[in-house]
Amino acid sequence: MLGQPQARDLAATRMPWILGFMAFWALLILLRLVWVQVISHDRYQRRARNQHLTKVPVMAVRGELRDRHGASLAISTRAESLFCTPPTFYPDFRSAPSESEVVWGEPDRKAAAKVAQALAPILERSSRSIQEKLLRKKPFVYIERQLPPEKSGAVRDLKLEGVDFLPESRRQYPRGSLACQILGYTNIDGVGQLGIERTYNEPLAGVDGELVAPKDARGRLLMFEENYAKVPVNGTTLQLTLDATIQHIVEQALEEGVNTYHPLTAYAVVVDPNTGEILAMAGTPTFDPNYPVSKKFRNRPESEFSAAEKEEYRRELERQKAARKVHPVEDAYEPGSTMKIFTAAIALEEHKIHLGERIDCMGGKWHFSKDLTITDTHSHGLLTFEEVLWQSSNVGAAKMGLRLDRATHYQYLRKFGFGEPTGLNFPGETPGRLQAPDRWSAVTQPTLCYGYGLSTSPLQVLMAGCALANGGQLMRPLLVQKVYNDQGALLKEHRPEIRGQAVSHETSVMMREALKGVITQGTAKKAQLDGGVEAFGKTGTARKIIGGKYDPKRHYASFMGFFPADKPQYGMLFMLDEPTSGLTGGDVAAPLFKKIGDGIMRYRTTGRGLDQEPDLKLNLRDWPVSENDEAVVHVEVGKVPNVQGLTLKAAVNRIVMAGGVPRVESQGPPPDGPYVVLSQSPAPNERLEYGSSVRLKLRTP
Amino acid sequence: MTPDVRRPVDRWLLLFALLLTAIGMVWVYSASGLKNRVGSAFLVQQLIAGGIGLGIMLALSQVELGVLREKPKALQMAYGLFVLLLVAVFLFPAVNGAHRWIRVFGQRFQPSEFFKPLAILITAWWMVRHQEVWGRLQDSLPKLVMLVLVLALPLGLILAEPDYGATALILLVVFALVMLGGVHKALLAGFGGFLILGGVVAVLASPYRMVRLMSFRNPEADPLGKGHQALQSLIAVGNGGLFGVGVGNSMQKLFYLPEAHNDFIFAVIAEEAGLVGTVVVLLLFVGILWRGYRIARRVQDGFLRLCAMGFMLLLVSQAFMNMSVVLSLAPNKGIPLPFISYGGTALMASMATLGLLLAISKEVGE
Repeated sequence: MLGQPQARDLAATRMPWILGFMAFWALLILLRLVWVQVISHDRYQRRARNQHLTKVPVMAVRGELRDRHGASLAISTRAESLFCTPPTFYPDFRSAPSESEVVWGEPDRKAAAKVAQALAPILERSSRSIQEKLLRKKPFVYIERQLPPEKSGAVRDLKLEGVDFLPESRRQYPRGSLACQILGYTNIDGVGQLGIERTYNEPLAGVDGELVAPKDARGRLLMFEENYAKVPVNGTTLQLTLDATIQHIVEQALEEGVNTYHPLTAYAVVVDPNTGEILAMAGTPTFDPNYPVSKKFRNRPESEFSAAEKEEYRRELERQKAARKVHPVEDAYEPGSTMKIFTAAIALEEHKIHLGERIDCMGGKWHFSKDLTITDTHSHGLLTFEEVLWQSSNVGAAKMGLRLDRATHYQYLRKFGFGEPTGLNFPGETPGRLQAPDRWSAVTQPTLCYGYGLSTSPLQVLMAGCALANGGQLMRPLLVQKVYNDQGALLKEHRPEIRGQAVSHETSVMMREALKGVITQGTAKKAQLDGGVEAFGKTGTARKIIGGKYDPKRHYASFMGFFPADKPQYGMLFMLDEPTSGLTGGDVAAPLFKKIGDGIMRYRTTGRGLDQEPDLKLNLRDWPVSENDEAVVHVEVGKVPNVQGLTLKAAVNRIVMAGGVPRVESQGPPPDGPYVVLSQSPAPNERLEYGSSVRLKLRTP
Repeated sequence: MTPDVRRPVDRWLLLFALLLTAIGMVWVYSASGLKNRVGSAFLVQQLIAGGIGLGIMLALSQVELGVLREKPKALQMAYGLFVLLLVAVFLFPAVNGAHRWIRVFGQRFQPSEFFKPLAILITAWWMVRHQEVWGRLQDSLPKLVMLVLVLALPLGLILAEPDYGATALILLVVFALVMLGGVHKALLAGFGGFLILGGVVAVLASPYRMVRLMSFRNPEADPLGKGHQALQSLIAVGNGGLFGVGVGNSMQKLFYLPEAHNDFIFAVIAEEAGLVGTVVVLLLFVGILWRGYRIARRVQDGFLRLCAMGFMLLLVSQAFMNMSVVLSLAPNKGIPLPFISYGGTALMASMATLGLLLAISKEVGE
């Protein structure tokens, strides 16, 4: 038909149009590819890294605390914390470069409930509380911190989606409550809360590192390689001046003293008078730093507490802090009779008196002025210089001291270190109080002579006493001896430091001789040590001010002593706050001094070091299986313990105590009852390298 | 049996298709490995489908398509069968909110994929059958309306699944065939206007589709809503750069990308193989465009020519649509990349379509 082009020809003429269209489309795609992949590559690459990479904190391992012989007092072991990634339970979860733009969507409650129900029996918690954590709208939520190994093993066996383990370090105090106030403890996040743990928190903690890890869109981490943005620096290890054995002896004596005399508190400090190193420092009551917080608050970060719980937690901490007071450095008290030895030493040094000189003690009652009558507990007539100290005569001491002019008296007291901190650098240390002579009243000087009108800390008194014992040098008390890094290299050594010469060597020798009589013939006959070991010292019975008045029935009973007398190695102050009414320092503190002194001398002569110390008290009360809660077992450090046939919890504890790392191979499904160790490798009694692993095979009972 | 006097199949076309399928296997494995406990589960499924698809392709490449021209009964029966299958999908539970599959002996089968080449055959047959009327405006209108009505039933069912991508693709290729079939310019313009109007109405009728449509234009304005997929796709492509991050190393496939092994597999290829990889894939499809166009130009028979153009356009424009979505050049319609995306039926249907194109390649004259 004319004028009507055939359809066939039309197809041929129209086909190039379609080809052109398709070619144009392909070109458009090509240009777009070049634009996105080449020209905008950097921009998209940045965006990709922003959303793919996340920084994971890597905790530094906290340093150890050791005693002077290297025995562990606080160690950090690896523990695993169970956490969940809630985005796993939100199917519509969308990650985003910035947190506010993250989309959560509706949770998959079924999946979360399944996981929660599987976890609940192992963690001994309600599945509802676990589910709440699983569905919390955060990228990372702890379910339980620092799980015991058999629990983490059981959870791992379940192979659950959305939960994983984070290695953390768990602070352990292998000797339980030993030196608890000195060592202190850490909270769940590993921050020191008391004592050395708090004072030296920074060097102990080290510096946490950061790992850069890729994550998928559901927030799960993918650890392909160790790619540190910041390399962690582990904490330093502190070697303390404490001697664990002496500390143990002291704590036993304290316990006995508390049981016998029922004081409000009792405490004792043992130092090496020549170096100022504190060998033991203890007070009652004690606590177990392994479990500083009651169960209710354990395992949870503070940020999760409700307002009421926060308040309760704060109150509990307050209460505990009161119980955890380090009395020897924190208490300020009027030293009383103990002070007389310094009065006597100053008078000797200034040649205002000589040995054997007789002093009229006026029958035990001296009306010094209309405001002050000085009385003694017994009436004495003429007493020699030495007898004044032996009988602890207030009148005699006042008469000696009043021979000094005020400025000299004050200067010497300052030389002995009164009125200023000892330099121990311990939290809460009191500097005491000593007024300058221009502010003294008429009665200040005589009362100072027998220990009133100033306040001191017990440690101050002991350090001043040490100056008399070591030839006149006032030493700075030391608690930390050496600082090591985590590789064992010595970083720093604290050497003994002389703060000043309080009195001359001669005066020191004379005072030593004079004070021997306090024990042999004076107020502290009960402090006589066994085996002919000579000691010297001074009792103290200081009245307490209650309601602005001295209460005749309440007092501090103390004894400060040094031994062996010819070349003192140990100086000790033993204090009981309000012992049973009427008992003096000579009655109660002296026998306890003897107990400790005998113990230390025995320890010194038999040379039984800590390595052979067999008794370790394990506190297992928080372990989940209902066996006997406390078990006293003998575990030798450095030797593989025999744990065959024991329950897993007991086995794990013993291996940790011996310095090993338990590795558990569980077999079959988790049992209803506790796991029991079937076999172990290496075999019992083989040498155990510190930190090496001990494999345990388990069976169900 | 008479000896086959026809030419051998177009080997270039076969090569391109096999290369694309091989690339598909690599990236289905790469993109799906983390989605299943058994890393290779998706790959095994895809390999089985590829094997069957290869068989179908080789078998179809030997048929004489021309016989259909005289035997409309076969087309009518196939049409009836597919309408039934497309109804049947609604009897099976929805997967991801869509009724696209029927389940037979534990295997999922997606009827709409095989309906695509059937729609081409029907349209081509119709255009050739009534080729005398297309030049006359008055006579051709009822015939075109008839064609639209015939196709409206299955397309309506596909749209209801819902599967907008497949619907749009079929309409696009049908429009091209109507154009090539010789329809009068004015009617063609009217038909085009009708399709565009229908699309606009569909979009306006559903705010969801509207948002989805608009989000591709500026994905970063709404990075977490509807623009999220588009943005994540661009991040994957852009992160690839010139040479990519290496096969298997894509981070975006770790659930940042939606459907990493399916609609957005091109983005994973872009991230892992870079511009080099994307251009190779693009060129392979351009290769199919070239060989398909060459076959259509050289084949003497009008019906086969329309069929050849239709099959070629079906494969290539679907690929370009998919790439455009990945590159935020077009709104997200949910359309897989032929030969490459995961999906057994889709792979088999693509290979079957190519097999038919190969069959036509045997008919080209000198």
